[in-house]
Amino acid sequence: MAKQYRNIGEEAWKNNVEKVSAELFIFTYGSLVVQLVKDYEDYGAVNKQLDKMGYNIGVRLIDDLLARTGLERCQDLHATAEVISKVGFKMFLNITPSVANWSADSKEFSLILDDNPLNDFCELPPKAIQDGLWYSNVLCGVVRGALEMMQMQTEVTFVRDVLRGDETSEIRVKLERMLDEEVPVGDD
Amino acid sequence: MKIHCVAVISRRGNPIYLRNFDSVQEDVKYHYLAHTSCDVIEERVAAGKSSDLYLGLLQTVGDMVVYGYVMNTGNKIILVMSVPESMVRSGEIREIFQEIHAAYIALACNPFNEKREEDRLESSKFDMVVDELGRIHAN
Repeated sequence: MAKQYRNIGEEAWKNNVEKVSAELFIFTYGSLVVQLVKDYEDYGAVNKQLDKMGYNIGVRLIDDLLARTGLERCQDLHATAEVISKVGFKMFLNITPSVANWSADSKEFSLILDDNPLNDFCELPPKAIQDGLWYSNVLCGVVRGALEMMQMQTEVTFVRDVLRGDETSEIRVKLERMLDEEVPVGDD
Repeated sequence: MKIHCVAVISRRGNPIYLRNFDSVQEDVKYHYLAHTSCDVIEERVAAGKSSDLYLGLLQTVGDMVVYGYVMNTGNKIILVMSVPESMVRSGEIREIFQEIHAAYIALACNPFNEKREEDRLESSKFDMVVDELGRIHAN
């Protein structure tokens, strides 16, 4: 199963997506974060905004992913985790975070990002580190938004980040509940 | 060969970074060396036969040799080293300069970097790279 997802992801990256310059993307994202920091002046609020933006991206991204890969509904959270890491991240960022640290009830897992392209060239000022800025928090929002469109309500947060001095970056995904078919909520 | 000092001078001629590895000498001597090297650099650049960024040996002062490197933006890097006993390949010096240049580019690309051109370079990553170079070439 895992091998199949890996192949789907690589296929999709090679053939089905248009590429853009990495530097352009990184610089755009960097300016975005810096501008948010200037506007809000509170790093907690910046984290929330990044998450919100990511959410709006995620709810749209999932349709793109499903259209390009033709994948069907996953049977369990393990399969979902594999799809997120081997197909989702691969298709859009060309990285494959590893899935690890499953909780005992299989409702939580971690995505370990060895190499996050958003982090290139970035150096957080000490105040940002102190006040808890998660630079790539938009990724958490994207995962949350995409999963919500698949009827899963989740809490997705960063727990470690290389920019803050940890060894790797780690995103924790926690499934809170399955949503029944409802009228979709409006944008935040 | 031992690196005594790494200095970066901006396009306008003001020093924006100086790292002194020598515990004996004061910074001011290296500031002086960096300034005199500026003139030599400008001569070489004006003569400008090749567009090579690495300028090679600029001058020798007492027991120290000074190498220079100019970036495309006009910022200059000065490397002050002790006279080596054995022949030192220019390739090695070139590599040192390229590492410093790469660290400078990384610093410039940092989205949180608010410095203008004439401001001093303040970055822990840049310091780390320079320290590492000084540590490697400390004999």
